[in-house]
Amino acid sequence: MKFLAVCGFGVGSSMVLKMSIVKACRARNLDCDIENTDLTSAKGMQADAVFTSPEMADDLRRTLSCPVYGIHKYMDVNEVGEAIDHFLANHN
Amino acid sequence: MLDFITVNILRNPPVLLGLIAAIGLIVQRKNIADIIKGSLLAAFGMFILDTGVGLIAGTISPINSAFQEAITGSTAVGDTLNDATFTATFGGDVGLAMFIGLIIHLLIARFTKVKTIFLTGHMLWWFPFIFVAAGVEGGLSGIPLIIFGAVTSALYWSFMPWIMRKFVWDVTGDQSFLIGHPTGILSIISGLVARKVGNKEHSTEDVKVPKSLSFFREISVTGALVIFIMYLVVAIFAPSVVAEGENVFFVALKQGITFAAGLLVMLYGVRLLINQIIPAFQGISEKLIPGSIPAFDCPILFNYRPNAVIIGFIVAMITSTIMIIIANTFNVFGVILIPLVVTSFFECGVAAVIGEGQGGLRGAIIGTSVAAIFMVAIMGISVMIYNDTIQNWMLIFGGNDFSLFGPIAKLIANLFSGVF
Repeated sequence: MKFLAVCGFGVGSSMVLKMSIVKACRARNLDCDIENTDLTSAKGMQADAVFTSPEMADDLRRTLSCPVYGIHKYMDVNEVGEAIDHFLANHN
Repeated sequence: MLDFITVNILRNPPVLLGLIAAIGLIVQRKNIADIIKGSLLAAFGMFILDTGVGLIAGTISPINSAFQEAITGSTAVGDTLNDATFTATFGGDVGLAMFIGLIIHLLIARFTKVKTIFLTGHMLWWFPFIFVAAGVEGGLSGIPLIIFGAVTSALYWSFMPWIMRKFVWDVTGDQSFLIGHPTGILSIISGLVARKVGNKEHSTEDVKVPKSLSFFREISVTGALVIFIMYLVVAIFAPSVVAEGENVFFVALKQGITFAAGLLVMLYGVRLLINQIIPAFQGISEKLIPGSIPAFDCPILFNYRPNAVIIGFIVAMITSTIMIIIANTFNVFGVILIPLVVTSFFECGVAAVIGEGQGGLRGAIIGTSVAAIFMVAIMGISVMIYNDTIQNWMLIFGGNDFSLFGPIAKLIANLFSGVF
């Protein structure tokens, strides 16, 4: 399984989001590949689910076929965890 | 022996950064496969980063050489250094300054009341980068240069997020994190102005911002458009920017595309490089420094006031472009300034969010415009200071704390270079 964390530049805040996803996955014993990237590159990448800000989520949904989750607080492991649970319940 | 190390490791950025990443991965007790993989990725990242900076500088430098030629009638005599050769020559010094700077930064958090832990990855690279360049401009070299870059970077990482913490916490409503980003001075200006003139009754978030404006978020697209337009305009005043027999439109198009591609390449390089280092740094700070507060990249704050970000970008783009046209027309800085897309979006985006927190919609707009005027002024000064090193890089990414503290660091370096 592969998750993608996306922000505008793909270096700063997506890194924070990625660390939250890593923590949430570890808590669920999920073995998956997690990468962070910028908005433009994300449109050319394959993933099972994408996590980003609510604003960019709209943009990404238009180009990507996989589920896209808008996260308000990147360092909030609970919020990220809920999105992952939603993905596992509906798409796995 | 010392010569051998200097030539093959210290002056060989990919190898040095690979080694630094290896140390980080060993500290995290990764297995041997992960250590080899991570160190190699960091080395690739360094090489890719350098290539990206070269691509970006390559699209910017013709504009200024064409203008030099149009004004003085001759091209500038070959500089000893430029953006690309600076990274290739001093990348190792930047890497070491980053490594030592991080240790000093952790010590400050451990032993003083300033509890910042700076986690904005790419800024852990760019601050030593601009401070080492300032040291080179000021005449430092060797070990004093590395120490200088390390100390100045560590002071910045610790103090700036701490100084602006109250403004950030007024926006977030809690004290969970700080902002670690060179928006610093611009956000402080915006916050102070907004507090004086603002009106908290009307918020930016009540305004209906059209969805179509959000394509500005894709900074590579906006950047390509701006460089494309810039070339079309420059060709009118300095025709030599287009070689004989070439078509203006397609030269401009090619430069716009090259710029955006260079930006994406550079970001990819930074990502490979920093992703190996940040988790180690975070792990160490979580274990060793109780009560530390992380400083994150600016878009983390964008989610709290998404409208303010777009409004701030538009206000900053308009204000700063007017200022830039005035500065270029009267050749105030002796260098042609380029519209500041990146800084207007990220740095002024935060400035607008902070302005909104202090004084609502009116505060955000007035605060951001004042910050944008200041942005162009320090931008102009810094590109003059960085004449011999990273001028073209500064033309794209400056106008923020890089442009404020870089010139100050250069003055300090001048003082020290007399001693060493």
